[in-house]
Amino acid sequence: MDFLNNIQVWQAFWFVVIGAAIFLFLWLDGFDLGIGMSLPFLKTKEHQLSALNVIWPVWDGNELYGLIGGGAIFATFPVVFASLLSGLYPWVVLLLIGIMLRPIAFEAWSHETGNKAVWTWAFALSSFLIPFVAGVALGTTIAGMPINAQMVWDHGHGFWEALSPLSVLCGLAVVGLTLLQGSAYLVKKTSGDLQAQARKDLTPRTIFAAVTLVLVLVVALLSPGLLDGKPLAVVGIIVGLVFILGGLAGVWLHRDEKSPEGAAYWFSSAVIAGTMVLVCGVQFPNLIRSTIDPSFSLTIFKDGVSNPINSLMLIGIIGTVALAITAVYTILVYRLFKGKVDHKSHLHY
Amino acid sequence: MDEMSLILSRIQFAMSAGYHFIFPPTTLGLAFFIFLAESFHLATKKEAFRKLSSFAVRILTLVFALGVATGLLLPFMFGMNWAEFAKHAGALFGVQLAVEATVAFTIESVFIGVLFFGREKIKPFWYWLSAFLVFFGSHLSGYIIIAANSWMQTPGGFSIDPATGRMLMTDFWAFNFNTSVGIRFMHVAIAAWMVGAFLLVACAAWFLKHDKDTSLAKTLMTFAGTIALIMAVAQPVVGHMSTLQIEQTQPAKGAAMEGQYLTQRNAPLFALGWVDEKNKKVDGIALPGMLSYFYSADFNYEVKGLDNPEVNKNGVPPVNATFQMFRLMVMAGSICIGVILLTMIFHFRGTLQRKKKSLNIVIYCAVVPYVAVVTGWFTAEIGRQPWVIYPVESMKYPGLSTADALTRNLAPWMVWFSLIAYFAVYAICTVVFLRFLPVIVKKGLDPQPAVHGKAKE
Repeated sequence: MDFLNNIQVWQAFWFVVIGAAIFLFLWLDGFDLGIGMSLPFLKTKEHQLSALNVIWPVWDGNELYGLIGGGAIFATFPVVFASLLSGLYPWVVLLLIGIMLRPIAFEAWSHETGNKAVWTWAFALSSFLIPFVAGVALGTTIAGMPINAQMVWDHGHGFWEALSPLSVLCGLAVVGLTLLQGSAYLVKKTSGDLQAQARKDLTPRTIFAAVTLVLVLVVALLSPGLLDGKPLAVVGIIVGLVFILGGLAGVWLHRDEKSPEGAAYWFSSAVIAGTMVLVCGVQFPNLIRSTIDPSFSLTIFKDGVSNPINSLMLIGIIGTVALAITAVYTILVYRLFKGKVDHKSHLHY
Repeated sequence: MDEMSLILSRIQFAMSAGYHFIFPPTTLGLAFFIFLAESFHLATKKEAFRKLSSFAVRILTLVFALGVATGLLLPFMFGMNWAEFAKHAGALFGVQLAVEATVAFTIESVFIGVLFFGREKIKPFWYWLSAFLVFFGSHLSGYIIIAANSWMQTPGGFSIDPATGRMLMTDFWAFNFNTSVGIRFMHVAIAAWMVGAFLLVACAAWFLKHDKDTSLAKTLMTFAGTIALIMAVAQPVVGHMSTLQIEQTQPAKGAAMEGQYLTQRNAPLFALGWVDEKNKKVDGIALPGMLSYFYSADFNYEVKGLDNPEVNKNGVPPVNATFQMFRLMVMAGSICIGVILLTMIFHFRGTLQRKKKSLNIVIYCAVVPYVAVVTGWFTAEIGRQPWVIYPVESMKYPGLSTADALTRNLAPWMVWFSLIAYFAVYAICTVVFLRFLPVIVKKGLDPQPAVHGKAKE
């Protein structure tokens, strides 16, 4: 077990864990964010209620993976946590508005006996802000921030420098992925008119996701120096693209009524998995690229970026055991709520 | 460092932590009640306990959502506004927050879903176990957070990396079982059980006043009222032990809480007063010798004041603010004891329902424990200024001041933007809470099953 005493092993381990947490967040919270954005466009109150009943028992457990991703960065790479959040300050405020507004709108919607439209739109807005800003942040770590030799946002560089075409495109791509995931999950979990509408939505949403993902890739490949010093970039791009293209094709071919109801959802999940493989491949070992000088980039192996080995090990062991147990009971709870859902589900005593 | 950014960031954190701290104690208090009610239900099979538990679960849905909404903000703020703190203490504090998220909060949020929707789907034992896990998870979560905060007041389990000046973890358990966490967690847990119990007592009073579900309401009054009474009486004892702890480890905070500028024997206790910080004196109602007596049961005990170098070596917090917040907390706690004592006397005599005015007082008294909780929190946090992490002499640790914890190059307009945005969101939270809590309560203690969101059409 000698390799466990090597800090680089733990730094790489945490890179993978953070990537996995972001994947779980996009995969699981993805469908409820997508359904949230669709909410104002569903035709009847019954449809809205059915859609909410689909995500009701699980959405806050899903959002937790985003929190775990963020918490993992704080616990293992505090310099990255601090630089990213303070550098993107105004954008993170928008993200937090989304995170706070969502459960409030959810509760208010369920108790409101009058006009629910305000809460419907508040829920949709917050469901948009979360994936969009998360995508912008992800894109910014790839495109780069003005990080100086002291590992902080360099004075004299304005906050707007975080907004490159690549980061905005990443925001749109993540929104596209969650929209697709939302429709695919509705097809799996509902029936009747609502399911039919969700099936129809699959077509434009597949196109939107495909276009934004391709644009992200093209802009990234055209950016000078973006792939320098990235040993896994080529592998990541190839493996990622196999999943992304296969997944998109799968959704496209299974959007009609004759296909199995769960098929689109699993193919759409493959697109998300492929996206995260691609992102991790393109990033490794970078966490935030520096636009001032590539040698200032915050990589997982750089001195002073990660916590010392005992902290990485401790939270590695506690976190792994805890999440293994969490996985068991989360699956049990999903089984408890499995099956079709409509507006009469979840009688609430 | 920008002076304006510092002031705004402080206001923002105080507002956010203070506002958030309304909801988690309610969650803890309700989870405690639900666990007890489910245990009685499992043991006695009496339907009344199931109905009361379900009633508390319905309130918990709203409270939990607001707690999560306002709480998720706080860890982000460490990176956004207090980046130097995040870097300095990340090896311990960041790890602690990650433990909270993975170990405690997961249990709480997954099983709360079962409590809300699972009653008909699982056997009573498994439902009881879910209630236990929500109780356990929420309290573990509370412990981990209070441990992190207590560690900032009485740090331990770390060393300083000479190369970077940042903290290294040496002992995770010394972090989690630091000097002050035991007594502080007891103090917070009892406060939380009070908050939950007083809220349910107020609900019971509302039902009695409107003569609705009367028999269940009386059971609720007995049940929640007993918890409220026990906790309200126990709290001053625990709180007193906490002040003894503060006098030892954070003497400047202790002296500020009591307004003691002078080191003296037979030190007076101010029941009420106003601190004149410029002339270093307190005008008010003084009980001679009582503070010495409180600290050591001896009027001759020498209380060290803010003039003492042992006390002021680490700087002095804003004295009047600490002093007044502490007094507000004690006053609120005292009102709770008086109100619940009279309520229970009337209740057991069987005359409570006739006293409409008393019932109104009991209903509005639900607010008072919240005043105690928030002012108590402000006492603890203002009293530790100017430090975000307290210095430790024995470890030659110089501490981290709040000003040094601030993000470098933080533009004031950004903090203005976030401050206004968060304030707006809290305003929405407040509207939602005040508007829909009565809606949930007024459905009654034993409502007919209603489809979610389509009640009583």
